[in-house]
Amino acid sequence: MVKFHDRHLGVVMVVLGAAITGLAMVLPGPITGAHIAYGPGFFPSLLGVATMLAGLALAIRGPQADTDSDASDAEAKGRPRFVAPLLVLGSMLAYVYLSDTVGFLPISLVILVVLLMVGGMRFVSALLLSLATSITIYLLFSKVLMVPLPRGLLQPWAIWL
Amino acid sequence: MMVHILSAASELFSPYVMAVIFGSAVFGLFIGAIPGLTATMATALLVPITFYMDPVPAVAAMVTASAMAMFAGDIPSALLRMPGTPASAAYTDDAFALTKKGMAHVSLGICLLTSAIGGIFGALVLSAFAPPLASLALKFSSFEYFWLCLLGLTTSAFIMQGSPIKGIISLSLGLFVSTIGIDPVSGVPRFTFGAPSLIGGVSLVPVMIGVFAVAEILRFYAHRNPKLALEQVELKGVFTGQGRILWRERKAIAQGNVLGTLIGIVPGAGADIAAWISYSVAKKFSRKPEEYGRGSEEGLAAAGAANNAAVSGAYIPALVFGIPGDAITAIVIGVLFMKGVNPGPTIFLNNPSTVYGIFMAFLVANLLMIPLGWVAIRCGRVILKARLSILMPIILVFCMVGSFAVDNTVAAVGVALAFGVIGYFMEEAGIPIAPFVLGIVLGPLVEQNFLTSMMKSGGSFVAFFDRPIAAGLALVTIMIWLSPLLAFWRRRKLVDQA
Repeated sequence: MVKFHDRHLGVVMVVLGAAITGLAMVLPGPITGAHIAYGPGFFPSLLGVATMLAGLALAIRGPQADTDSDASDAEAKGRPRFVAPLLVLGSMLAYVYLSDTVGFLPISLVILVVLLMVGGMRFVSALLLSLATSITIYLLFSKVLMVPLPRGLLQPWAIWL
Repeated sequence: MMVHILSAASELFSPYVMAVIFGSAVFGLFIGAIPGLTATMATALLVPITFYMDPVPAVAAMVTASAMAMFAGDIPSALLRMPGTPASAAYTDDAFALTKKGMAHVSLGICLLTSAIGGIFGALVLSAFAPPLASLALKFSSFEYFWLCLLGLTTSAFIMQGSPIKGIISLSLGLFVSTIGIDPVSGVPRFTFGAPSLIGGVSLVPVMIGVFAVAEILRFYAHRNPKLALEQVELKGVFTGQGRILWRERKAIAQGNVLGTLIGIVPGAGADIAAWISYSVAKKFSRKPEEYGRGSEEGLAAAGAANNAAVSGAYIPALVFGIPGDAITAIVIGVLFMKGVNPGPTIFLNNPSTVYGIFMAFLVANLLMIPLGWVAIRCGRVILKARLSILMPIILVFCMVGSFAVDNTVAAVGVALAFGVIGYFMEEAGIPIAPFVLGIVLGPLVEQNFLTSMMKSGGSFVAFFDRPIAAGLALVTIMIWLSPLLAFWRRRKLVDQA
């Protein structure tokens, strides 16, 4: 991974801190009649300023030898892959948006097969392992722990699940 | 009193209750050993099952499961560098560093035995000193709470290796996340951007799953670094040489026992904070502070004892005053209320055998931890031998189901996803995760105790230093703030002299 340069990180934090402060400022002021001079925006704006100051300090100071001791690790890692982590993110997004309609068992099966094959497993072994894992997790959470995992497409066979 | 102790014992040692304890122990070890599933969740998931039990077996089940999960959280810490529960996060780097040196059995042995010692110590304190100690905690006002929270946050930002600046960034961002949702003082929604699922704030379990487990999965797939693969070591001789190690680290263990119990007693502060504070205190007073984060047995012993001591200690305010010491005891209090047992000063008068049953359940659970924990470590070898390319997809599915199980909404899976990405980028940028997480946990407490204190004092800051305990906590906190400046100043002086 191109190690995030501390100066760039500092600049990002200054911008983020400023954004937090700005958003906190537009929150309504203290309730009139309350015995307190601090509104809901007080604490967040304090945090925004702290983030800005720390970012500023980082941007001015730049990288330090002792804090970047694992820079050589980063070198050794080489460039990050993009496809595989995006597949993980995609799997989670698919779960968020599709699990209710498709159901836990089918979606977990697909996610497991895809990710296991990314890890170098052959299709048949991946499918068998995914089936076993999905059913185990389903039984554990749905039957033992009473978590209402969605049945989705398998609803017609609900009596068997 | 003896009558109540005997009747409690006869109930506890009945085959039925023993079977419940054994089952909860296995369940707790399983949940705790899975990254992303916490001791708190193990307790919460037991609630529907304990619904059908009497008070003593119900509480015994939750006590056992939480203590076991607290230890089992150390197993993936050591083997995968993923804390199984947040309370293991303080010393994950140390446990994993030992594994990399081929000493996984040593680090897990320390974790197991110090966990049992800490749990038993906390239980003894609970049984012996519950009323007087809880009366001390009762004297704490919002001023003491404010400083105590701030002290926890400060130590978390400053104990991390590397720059305190990045610690402060991490802490500020974590505290910011804690302000998302309805502000309890004014009732104004903050930073929700119109999303209904954010109104109630960001719930903690998916955040933990995100930053600790999903981020680790993303890192695995982004780098596929052979160094991230499991270290192949033999896991034999868990107890070999432990007597010597425990004796050598006796001061650290004693410190972890005492601090862990005390922090557990303080309402609002639980095992996570106990582990962090005990770890940082051990580091501050260590003769070898440079080893911390790189496999320090001393830090492991102190924090390993502290988190289990805190689990026990948290029951003191819970039972005597009905104030939960942490999330786990909050659940237990709820269950006791459902059963018509009201925690509070009257519980000792109305249900003495229930109270003694709970005390004894702690001792039984922590003693049972040693043989069962050993079995769990031996089974941990299976995890050790498995390939991460197989394990990671399965862990991902567990993370999603675990997040979903918190409140049965897919929004929690979205939260885990978002915080997984945040955790991944923070790690890439060298920003420590722990202050971020602690900021999220303690943020509401800091803010509310600050506002309450300001209301009480009529806007005067002097009141924050007026009470002796508050002043003492304030002094320690401010000294930690000033320590980097002092170190900087001293270095400048040395450079000038040279």
